[in-house]
Amino acid sequence: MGSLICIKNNKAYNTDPKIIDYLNPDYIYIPYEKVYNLNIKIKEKVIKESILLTKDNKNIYSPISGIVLGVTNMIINNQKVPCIVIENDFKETTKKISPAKKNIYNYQKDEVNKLIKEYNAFNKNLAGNLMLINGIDLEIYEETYKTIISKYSSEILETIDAMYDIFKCHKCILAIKNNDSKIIEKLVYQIGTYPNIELKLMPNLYPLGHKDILIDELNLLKNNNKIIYLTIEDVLAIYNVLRKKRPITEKIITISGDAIEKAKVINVKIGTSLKDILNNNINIINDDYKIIINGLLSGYEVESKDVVITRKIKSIFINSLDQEEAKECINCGLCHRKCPVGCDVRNNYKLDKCINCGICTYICPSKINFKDRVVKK
Amino acid sequence: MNNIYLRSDYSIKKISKYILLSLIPLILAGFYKNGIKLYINDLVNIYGLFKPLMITISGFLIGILVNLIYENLIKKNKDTLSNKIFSSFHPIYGIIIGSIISINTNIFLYIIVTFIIFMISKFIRNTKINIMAFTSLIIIFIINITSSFTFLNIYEATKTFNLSSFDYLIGKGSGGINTTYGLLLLISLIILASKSYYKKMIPLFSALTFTFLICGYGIYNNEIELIFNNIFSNGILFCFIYIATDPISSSYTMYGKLIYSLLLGVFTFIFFLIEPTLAVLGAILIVSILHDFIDKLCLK
Repeated sequence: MGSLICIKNNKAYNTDPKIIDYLNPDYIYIPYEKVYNLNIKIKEKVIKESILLTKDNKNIYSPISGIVLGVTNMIINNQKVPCIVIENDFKETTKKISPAKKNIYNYQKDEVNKLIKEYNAFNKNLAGNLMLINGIDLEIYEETYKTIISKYSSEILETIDAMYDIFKCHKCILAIKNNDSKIIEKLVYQIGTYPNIELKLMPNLYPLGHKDILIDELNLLKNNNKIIYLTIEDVLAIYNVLRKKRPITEKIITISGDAIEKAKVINVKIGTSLKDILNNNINIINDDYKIIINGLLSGYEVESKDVVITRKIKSIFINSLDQEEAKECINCGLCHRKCPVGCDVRNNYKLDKCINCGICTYICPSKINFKDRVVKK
Repeated sequence: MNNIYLRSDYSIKKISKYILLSLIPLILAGFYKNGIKLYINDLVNIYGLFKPLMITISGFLIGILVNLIYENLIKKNKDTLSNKIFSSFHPIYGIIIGSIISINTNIFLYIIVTFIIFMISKFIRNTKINIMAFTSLIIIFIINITSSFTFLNIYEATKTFNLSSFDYLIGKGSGGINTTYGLLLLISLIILASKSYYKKMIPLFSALTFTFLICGYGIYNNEIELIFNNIFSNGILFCFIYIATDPISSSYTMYGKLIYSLLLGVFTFIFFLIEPTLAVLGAILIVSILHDFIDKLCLK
């Protein structure tokens, strides 16, 4: 592995430490792929958490109660995708469900995996003997995980400990950044109750939040360990599924950037449009801006505000930063030397290992867009 | 469009400024040795007093002029003036060439040759050779056609010295205008080595290889005084630090830099046995042609 880089803090991206709820949008947009079976009709009334689409035991739930209006094109993963539009009736009507177990330690492995799949917590089957919990936000100036840990520390520690017990792991590591004293203090205060959880303080380097880089830095691949890798967001989803037996219909995201007044971490319904979030929560101070999804280094730019919040979105940056003009390559080799996986984008070396972290482009003195070259190849 | 929206503060302008800063003590020392000292001893007139500075600064100005002509007239770039001035390393190349050539060089010849080569180099994309070594060699060859080339200034040429190893550290050895102060060169190397874009491995390993070979040669021929002195004379250390590390014409991979340095040390030694004054420039020119091949080989 190559070196990791330290990026200076910028006050323009400082985030409000509280999570703001925005759970009552006027409309919700659910992406509709034809491989799914449609369970609803136009003008039909749906209740919250009712199943809208199904495919191979995978369910897509309605995040709100309301009326199905029809289908419209919205932007998902930078592509226009047909989406089912549901108008919110603001009643949050739900059906009654069987109660969850009072003690989450009483679940079995298979039960946990079944509930995770059934309630759409995330898309992976858990198995292994070493548990790694990633509490490090992948992107610079992204503070989603940090804020989740700060708000839900006791729930997270309880769930990690229960998972350790259920999956009979021999080791459990919770990795967080070493630069936030308040979170460290909070976790250290509570972690005494959970002696199985090992707290690892990692340096504030990029891209330490990436799964492979973190595993490599912690040297976890020795001794044939089989790793159960979870993010803090996954742990919170497991907690909600096991404790409440309800599907995951909300998503916590960071909205930041130098074109907005104050960066915020917002809890929104999955399927909310970015336009609604910005209009109701964010004060844009510079009209000449770009919208960047999932980070300034590894993210991508979108042309319009018709972006729908999906499970894959972690952050949205509203930036007024102008791009500098690229100059000729000076052969300094920084793109190769600073690459965390040792790629050489100029000579197409190890490009299959590229993790799309953007360091090659970030570090280039000639301001060459190597990231675009890698993607095109 | 895939792009990133956060950039490091590394830029050609910043790197150039840093190299320029590291050169200032050497330029002042060169001005003292080849200007003030000669003027105090009544060996040169007022033009001779400022000649070292004029050569060095004119190199910088040629680099700026070439960049401005290219950016304004050819590329029609609408960037800021300072970004146009430092759109490439040519201003720094100009200073370095002005530092390595002899004080006896005709300033007009130097300006014309440097300007022509710099202009041509702007139009040749992916130039593989080291422009600084190439330009310096061309200037030296042209001087050699009209008169015999020497690094010695008037003061040095009229006297015979018996120099100790310490004398080479305080600039008493022979070499280009700003290249003889060994102690200042070592300080410059330390300053430059603190920056990640500087290829510090190249001066370290090439100097070590050259010293090792000179040691062997000196011991074999019972010429022990050769061992320490030669690394600080004829601009060898200066060229290892400033010319061989030119990012554009040197290797950038880990093993590439190692091979590049070893070859540079070996070629410098071989050429040193033939023509000491041109050894390091010739070696850099040859190794710079190979740098791309070395990198590709190492990546494979």
